Amino acid sequence: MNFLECVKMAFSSIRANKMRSLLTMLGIIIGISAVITITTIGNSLHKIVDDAFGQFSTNIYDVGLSRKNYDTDEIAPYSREDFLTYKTQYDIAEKYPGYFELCDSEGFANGTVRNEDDEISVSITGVQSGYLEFMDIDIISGRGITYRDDIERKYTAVVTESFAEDYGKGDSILGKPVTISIDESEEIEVYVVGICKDNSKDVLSEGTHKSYKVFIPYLTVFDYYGVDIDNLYTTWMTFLWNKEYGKDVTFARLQSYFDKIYENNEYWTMKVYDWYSDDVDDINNVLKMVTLAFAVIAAISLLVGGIGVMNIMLVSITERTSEIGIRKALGAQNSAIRVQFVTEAIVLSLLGGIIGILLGLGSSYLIGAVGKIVLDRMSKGTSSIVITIAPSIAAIIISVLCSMAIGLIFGYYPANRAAKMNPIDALRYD
Amino acid sequence: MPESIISLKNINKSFNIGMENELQILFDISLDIKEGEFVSIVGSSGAGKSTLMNILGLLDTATSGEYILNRNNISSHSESELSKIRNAEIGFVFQTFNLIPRMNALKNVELPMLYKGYSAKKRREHALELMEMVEMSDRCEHYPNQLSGGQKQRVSIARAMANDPSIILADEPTGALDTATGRKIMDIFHELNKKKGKTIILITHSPELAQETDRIITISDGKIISDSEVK
Repeated sequence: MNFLECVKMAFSSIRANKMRSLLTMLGIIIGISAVITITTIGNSLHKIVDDAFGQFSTNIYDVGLSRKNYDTDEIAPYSREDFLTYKTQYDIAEKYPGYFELCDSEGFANGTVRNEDDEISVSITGVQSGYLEFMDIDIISGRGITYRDDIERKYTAVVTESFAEDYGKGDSILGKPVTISIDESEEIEVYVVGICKDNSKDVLSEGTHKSYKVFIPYLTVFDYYGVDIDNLYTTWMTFLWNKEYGKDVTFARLQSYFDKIYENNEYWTMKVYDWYSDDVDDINNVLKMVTLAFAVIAAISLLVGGIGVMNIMLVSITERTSEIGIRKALGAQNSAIRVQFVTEAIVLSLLGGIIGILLGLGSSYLIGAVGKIVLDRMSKGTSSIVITIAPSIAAIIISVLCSMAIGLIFGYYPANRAAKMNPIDALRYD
Repeated sequence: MPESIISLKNINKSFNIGMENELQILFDISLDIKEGEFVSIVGSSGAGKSTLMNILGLLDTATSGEYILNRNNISSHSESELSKIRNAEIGFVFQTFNLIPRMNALKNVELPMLYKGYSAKKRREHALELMEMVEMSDRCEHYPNQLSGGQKQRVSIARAMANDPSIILADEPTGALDTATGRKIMDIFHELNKKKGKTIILITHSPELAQETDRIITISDGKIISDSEVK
C-alpha cells in the first residue's frame, strides 16, 4: 500500500468526522497561529527598529576620558599629561590600517565663489576620511576625501550637488580647480574630486534646502592656520569601525590600544563606548525575550494540541476496532495499519498547522494594518516609521515540520496499538 | 486424486495458557481437505468451530500441532508472512458481513487488492468484474448501510474472491439472512466451487445446508466426532 493511498484514506476518515476533526485540530491551530503571529510581529518590529536605526551609522565607537575607579570619592587630579593629542587618532589609523575611519570635522570658513555673473556663498568644512559615511552623506560621483588626502594636507574638495549644479554644469566641475574667496583678502584654490548629496538621510534634518558646502581634508584646515595637531589635546574621539572586521575584534583592538597608553596612569583611562549598536541590541534583546516567552506559551498549547490528537486517535481506533480486524483479516500487515493511522494523525495535525499558519498570517497583517492607522492618527501622518509586515519564513517552515512531528509523535502510540490488535478480538468487537 | 490443500495434524488450542483459567478448546484435530472440495464443519455453539476456522484462516495460531496449507508449513511463519498468505490464499465470508461502513461496496471489494499492492486502476477494473459476477454491478457506489443483508453478503463474497484465493472460508454466511436469500447465497458458493474450482469450507450449525456439501465434519467439545462424505 503506497503513501498516496494512506493520505487519501486519512482524508476520507477526517471528512467522515468533520466536526470532531476540527475540534481536535483546534489546539494545534491556536498554537501554530500564535507562533506565526508572534514571530511575524517580532520579525516586523525587528525590521522596523533596524530601518529606523539604520538611518544612522551604527558602527561608531566614542572614546572618552574616564576615571579608572568610580568607587572612591577622592577627586582625581588631572593635568595635560592625562590627555591625548589629535594625533593619537592618526596613530591608531596607521597602526590598524583599514580597521578604523576617522570621522571628525572642523569648520573652516565661509567663503564666496564667483561664477560668471554670480556669487555663491559656501561653507567650508575640514573633514576626516570617515566623516561623510558617518553623516550618511552619499557620494554621487567622483570620490570622497581619503585618508591620504588628509595626512598629506591636500587641497582636494568634495562639493554638494547643489553647488556643483549652480556653479558649473553637474559633473563638469569634477577635476577642476575652484577658487574660493575668504574674507575678501584671502583665497584658496581647491580641486574638486567628488560630488555628494546635499543632505544626509538623517531624519532630524528636515527639508531639502539647497546647501552649498565644500568639504576639504581635516588636516589641511589645521595646516592652513599653522596649527600642529601634536599640540591639540582632546578627551573625546570618535571612530567609525570597519564592519568587515566585526565589532568584537575592532572593539578589543581599540580598547587595548588605550589601555596600553594609560597602563601606568593612576586615575585615568580612555574608555571605548558602543552606544549605537548597544541601543539597537537592547531593543532587539527585549523583542527576543518577548518572542521567546510567547514561543513557550505556544509550545505548551502545541503540546496540549498534540495530546488532543493522541486522544482522538485513541477514540478513533476504539471506534474502528472492527474495521481494523476486517483489514487484518483481508491481509493488512501490522505495518500497513500503523502507517495508515500515523498518516491520519500527521494529516490531521498538518491540516491544523496549515490553518494555523494562515490564521497567524492573517492576524499579523490585521495587526499591522491597525498599527498603521494608529500611528498615522498619532503622528498625523508625519512619522517616518514605516510599518512592514515581515513573516518569518523560518517560523512557517518550522511550524509545518513541528505540526507533522506532533502528528508523528502523538499518533505513533495509538497507531501502534491499532497495529498490534489481535484480528480475532477486533473482528468480534461490536 | 487431488492433493490436500489443507492438512492439520494434532492441532491443539488452549487459551490463557499457564493461568488458573486455562481452557483447552481444540483437542488433537487432524484433518485433510483436498483442493476443490466443498466441506462443511458443523457443531453446536461452543464446540470449537470458530476457533478451528480462525486457525484455518490464519487469524489465530495453534498451541501445538502442524498446519500445512498449500504444501506450506505455516507453523513457522511470522505474523507478517501470515498476513501475506491470508491475503493471497484465503477469502473470508462472515455471518455479519464485516464490510467497512465508511467505504462504498466497490471500495470494500478493492480492499484485499490494496493490501496486495495493485494499482488503483487495476483494483477498480477487477472489483467491477467481481461485482458483476455477484450481480451487484448496479450497487457499486452504495454504502453498506444502503444494502440489504443478501446484497451485503454478495459484496463480501466478491471481496473474498478479490485476490482469487484457493480457499474460501465462510462462517455462517446465511446465518443473518432469510431462507430465500440464504438459498441464493448458497447457490453462489456452489457455483464458485463447481465453475471456479474453489475449495470452500462452510461453517454452519444447519444440518440442511451441510447436506448440500461434499463432506461433513462434525465437531463436539473440541474434537472431531464424525467426518463423512455426503452421497
